[in-house]
Amino acid sequence: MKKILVIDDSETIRQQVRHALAATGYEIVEAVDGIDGLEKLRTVTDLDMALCDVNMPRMNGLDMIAEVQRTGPKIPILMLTTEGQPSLIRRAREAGAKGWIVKPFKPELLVAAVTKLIDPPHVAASS
Amino acid sequence: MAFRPLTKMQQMGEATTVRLHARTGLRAKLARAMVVTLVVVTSATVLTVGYMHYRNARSTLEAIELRNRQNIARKGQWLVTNHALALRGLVADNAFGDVARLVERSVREDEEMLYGVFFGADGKVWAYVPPPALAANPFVRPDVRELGIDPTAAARFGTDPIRRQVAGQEAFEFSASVVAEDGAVLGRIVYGLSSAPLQRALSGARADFHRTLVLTLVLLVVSGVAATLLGIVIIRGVAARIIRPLAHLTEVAIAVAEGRRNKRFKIWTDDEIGVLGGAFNQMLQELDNSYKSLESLNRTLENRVEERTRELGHRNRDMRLVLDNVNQGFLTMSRSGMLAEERSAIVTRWLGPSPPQQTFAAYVGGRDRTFAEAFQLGYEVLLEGLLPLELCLDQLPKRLRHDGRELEFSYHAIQEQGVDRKTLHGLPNTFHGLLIVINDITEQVQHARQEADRAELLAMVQGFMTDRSGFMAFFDEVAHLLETYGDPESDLVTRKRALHTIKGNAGLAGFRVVADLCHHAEEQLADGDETQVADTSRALVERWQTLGDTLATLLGERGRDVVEVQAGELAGLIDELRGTGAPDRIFVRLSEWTLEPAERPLGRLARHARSLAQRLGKGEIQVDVDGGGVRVDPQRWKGLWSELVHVVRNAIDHGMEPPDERRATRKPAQPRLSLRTATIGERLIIEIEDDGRGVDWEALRVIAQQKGMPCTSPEELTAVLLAADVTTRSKATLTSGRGMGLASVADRVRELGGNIAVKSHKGKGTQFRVSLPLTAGAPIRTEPVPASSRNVA
Repeated sequence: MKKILVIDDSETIRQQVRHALAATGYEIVEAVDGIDGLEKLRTVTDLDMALCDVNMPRMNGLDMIAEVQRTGPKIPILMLTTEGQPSLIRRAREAGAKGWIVKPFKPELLVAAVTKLIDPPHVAASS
Repeated sequence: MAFRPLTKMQQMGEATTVRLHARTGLRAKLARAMVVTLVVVTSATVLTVGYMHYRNARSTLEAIELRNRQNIARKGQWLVTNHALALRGLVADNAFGDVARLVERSVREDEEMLYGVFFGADGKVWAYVPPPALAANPFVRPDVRELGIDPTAAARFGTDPIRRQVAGQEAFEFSASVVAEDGAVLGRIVYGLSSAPLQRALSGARADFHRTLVLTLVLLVVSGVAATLLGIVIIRGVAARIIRPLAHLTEVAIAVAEGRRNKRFKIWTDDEIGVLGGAFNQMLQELDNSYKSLESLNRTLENRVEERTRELGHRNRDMRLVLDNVNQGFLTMSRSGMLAEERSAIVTRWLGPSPPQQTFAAYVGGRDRTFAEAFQLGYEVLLEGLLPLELCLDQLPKRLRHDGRELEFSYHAIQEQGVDRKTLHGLPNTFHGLLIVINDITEQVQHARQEADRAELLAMVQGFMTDRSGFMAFFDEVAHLLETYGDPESDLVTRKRALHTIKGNAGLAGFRVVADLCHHAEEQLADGDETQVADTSRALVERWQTLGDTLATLLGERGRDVVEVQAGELAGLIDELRGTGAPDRIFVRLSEWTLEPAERPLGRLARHARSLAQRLGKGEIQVDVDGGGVRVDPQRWKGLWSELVHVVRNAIDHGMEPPDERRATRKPAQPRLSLRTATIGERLIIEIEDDGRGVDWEALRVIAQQKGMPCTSPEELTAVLLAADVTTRSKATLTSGRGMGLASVADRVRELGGNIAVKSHKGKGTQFRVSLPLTAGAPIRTEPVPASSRNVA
């Protein structure tokens, strides 16, 4: 089963992600900030991808991604951002994020993005 | 232009020259071959005939020579034999003279005889007749030895003569021995016969032969030449006849090659050429048919192309018309980001022109860099194809503010149809670019903003009404937090916390605009964008100010120092006091609390007047409101105020001139309306006064006369003005002019026991003055009339 790490200090956002992805059957692992996220990335095995907030206490998303790029694991990371922040998005891309999803997101688009990123397309087509 | 495909023949015809030369033609070749054959045959015939003739002549000559020689031999043999017999006696008699005479006579008498000699038995020459050539010199005695005859040799017998050259002439020599009867040889007779007759005969025969040969040859050659010439003529004719169908076929082929497709081979032979011609004709017919069908196909094709081109032209024109007039912006962008030239005209009006070969990002970058950067990033991710196209399109920037306009962008992928993009991994090659649709949503945004403002104000009023003290506490707290947030001394964390609390509280209280502004400020703070934070903070403070002002209005001038009491509770209190013998003024004071200040209904009239003036194009008008400290019973006068709306309408619609007309009459551009209340004695006075063009009393008088109404005194004229169905306007408008409004006001005033006085000077303005009797508990002056209002009251 595919495993996804969701890193966001907002319980609401984590819940929204969980609900959106519930139908896919993916396993969701949660972290509340950058430090927690790094910890989970190192200890939880077989993670397929991560969704990561930008503004978080203790360690923000950009620093966390930069750290992950340095130390691994090599999994795709999508940022969860708010609209109209091109400079931030640029930094996230430079840090190694594969893309971003603007909050508030449409659940079906989040599902499509996650599925496309971690599931081979023919699986997506047949499911 | 007619399209005409080239045939194979034409292509060949153009590449090489299909022309025959007379010398290389089949006819010439055939004629040449036949002529050569003819010449060879003729020559051979001539030669053969000549040769045969020559051979015949030769054999004839030989026969003549042989016969002549035989004749000579026979004659010589006979002569010597006879003379040998004849001489026997003479020799035996030694008759030398007779012998000599006989020999001489024999030689002289016969011209064929050349010479004659008689040798005695001892070899002595008895008689010698020399050949004429040797006897030419009479002084020389001929010698027999010159002839080369051996006198001692025995005589030869037989026909075969000795050939001897005598004086350049061939001689045939015959000899015979003269033998005595006893057999003794008495001598030898020799005769030389000339070969001249032989030679003559031969040369005559030869000359004949030559003549005949030459004649024959000449005849042969002449006839040969004649035959050849005749042959050539015949050959040419025959060759021409053989070649004619072929030449015709060739001619037809060339003509067809040159494009004269109607040419046909005329068949008149039943040989191979005829068959070939038939096949050729059939081929031509088929070629012609296919050519015709090709031509008709071409014509159809051309027509269709023309039709399509015309349709396309129409469609382009229609499309251009649509693009020029549609009020949506349409742009297309290639996969590489380049903008297409075709776009709706309004795009250029909104965002300005773009040079050719510009990218969309560069184009919008000139208007909003942040937008362009966001687009660039979003489009990069889209092209990578890692994320779904729908998501990428959804996350491209949507709002751009430029030149006072709010523009909303939406993006649509331009893709080849029939491909389910959801099933493809990565960005498919069928993605060709974007269609960008732009809408001007300035009005909607403004409207939404106004709606949000209104909703917020409503929320505030509701909050205030539901829980006045709670609301006031919230309002005070937010104001305090805003101070903390705006305090430059505060540290960032404190400011952020203050902001966050404001956002939460505002959200709870239904203050959406404030909450949104706080949210934006929070985001911008997190992003570290100081300029934007300052802008948003300013907007937040301004908004709060507006809300504060509204709240102040809501609270009234005395603001917070107000105690809320239910009307029923107040009535109960008054009832209770009645039994206690409290002074009347206490009752009056308490009763007053149930009344409303006259400014309130006047204010409503004023607002109505302003919006009406706006709607009727009279521009901003100045409305002065003066309640004169009067409080009125809201229930009792409710109907009156709504009737007075007619007076206000009349003043604005009929009385107030449009701005340009006012300027012409040197009035202030802004029309003025005064709304006043006052109490004089036991009467309530309501005045509505404008500075417009005034009542046209003369026109009114004319109308009154038409209707048979009295119209001499000002009071009578006023009554006419207030009567139903009277109007000075020739045309009714939606607002007024039907002559009903003032009549309805007059009725209402009369019902209340009051009256109306109208003062008006043409060009100066009109004053409506309503006077109503006060009754107990009705309008009461509670405050001193402000000094500023006194002169107009």
